[in-house]
Amino acid sequence: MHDSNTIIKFADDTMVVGLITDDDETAYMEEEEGLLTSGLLALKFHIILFTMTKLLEWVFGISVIGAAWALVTFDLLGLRLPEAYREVAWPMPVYLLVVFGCYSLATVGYRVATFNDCEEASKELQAQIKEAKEDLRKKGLKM
Amino acid sequence: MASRKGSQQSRGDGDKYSVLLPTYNERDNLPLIVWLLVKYFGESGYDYEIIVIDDGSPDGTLEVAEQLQKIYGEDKILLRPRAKKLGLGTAYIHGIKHAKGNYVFIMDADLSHHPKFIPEFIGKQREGGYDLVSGTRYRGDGGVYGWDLRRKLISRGANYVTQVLLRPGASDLTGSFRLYKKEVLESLVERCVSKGYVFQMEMIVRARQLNYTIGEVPISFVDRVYGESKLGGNEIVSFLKGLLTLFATT
Repeated sequence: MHDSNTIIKFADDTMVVGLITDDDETAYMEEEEGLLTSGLLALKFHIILFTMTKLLEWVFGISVIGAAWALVTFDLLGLRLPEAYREVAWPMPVYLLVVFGCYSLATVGYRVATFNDCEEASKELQAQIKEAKEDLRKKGLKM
Repeated sequence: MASRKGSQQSRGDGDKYSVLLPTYNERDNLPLIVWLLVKYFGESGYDYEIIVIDDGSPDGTLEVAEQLQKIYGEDKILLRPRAKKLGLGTAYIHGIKHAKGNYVFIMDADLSHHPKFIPEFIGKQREGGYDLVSGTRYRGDGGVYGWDLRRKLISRGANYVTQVLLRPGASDLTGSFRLYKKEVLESLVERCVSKGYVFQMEMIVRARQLNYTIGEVPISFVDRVYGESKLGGNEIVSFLKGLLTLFATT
């Protein structure tokens, strides 16, 4: 940001007050352009977030979790966390996958076991088919 | 207010329900499904019309449809035949072109979907003002008749994978017994590009994208066809391909 400019932020608008000396507007113009570009970038980012496909959501989510895991396990930021944190974090991915696998099997198994068998519906339908055929014959349908 | 005439009262509340019946070789089933539709709509008093979209069935389905038209009237049975078997999406588009209803039912014509649920669909739609109401075999007292363990396992397994990947907000995505507001059906059909099972899934996924509200009604699905056509490897593969496409593009 140029020293000769002042940025005033209003709620709905940002105003650049620039010092123009000797008809030289460059400092002022550069400031305006910078603001416009970063505004557009912010807007674009929001649009991408809102229209992310499920695939991108997964990629994003896994990246975030993966980064957090790598950070703790390999101490990427040199935070020197207690050994306990690293010991717990290291097997987490495999552990979570196994838990998810077991949950999935249990859920699908439960749902198959409790899948309603509509005996009554079938019997009712058979009876109604008979009734319908009779009635239609009376009404003149040639079957 | 309309007057009561025994069990056939006309509600006269301005809503009309168009029932789309795409048919292919349903000569035996068509009269039965029409009879059931007439019965349940008649008893409930809602205004309706049945639109038969026959794709040039070689078994004479259209001829039977014409007989039904004579019996029940041309205002109740509408025929929108096509020359040959084209997709389901285009059948819907073709069917609703001249539909007079402001609501549209889609269902199978092979008696796997029972019209007795129609008043429940309508009740549910009015209860929540839903843009679409989907019949579900997987919730409440919904269920299936005529499936063995293998078929149930495939069905539940596929549905689980779909739920995890797409998080669609509806329990039964491949079901095709649904009630739509007419303008909602129109706007969805023109956006959907998939075929077969996946088409019905895509309709729900796009509905969510467009922030349409979805209600559910448990239904019983009586499968009389499964015995003849087992669900083979080919269908499973094309289902997975369609699912992954939806996963990557919506």
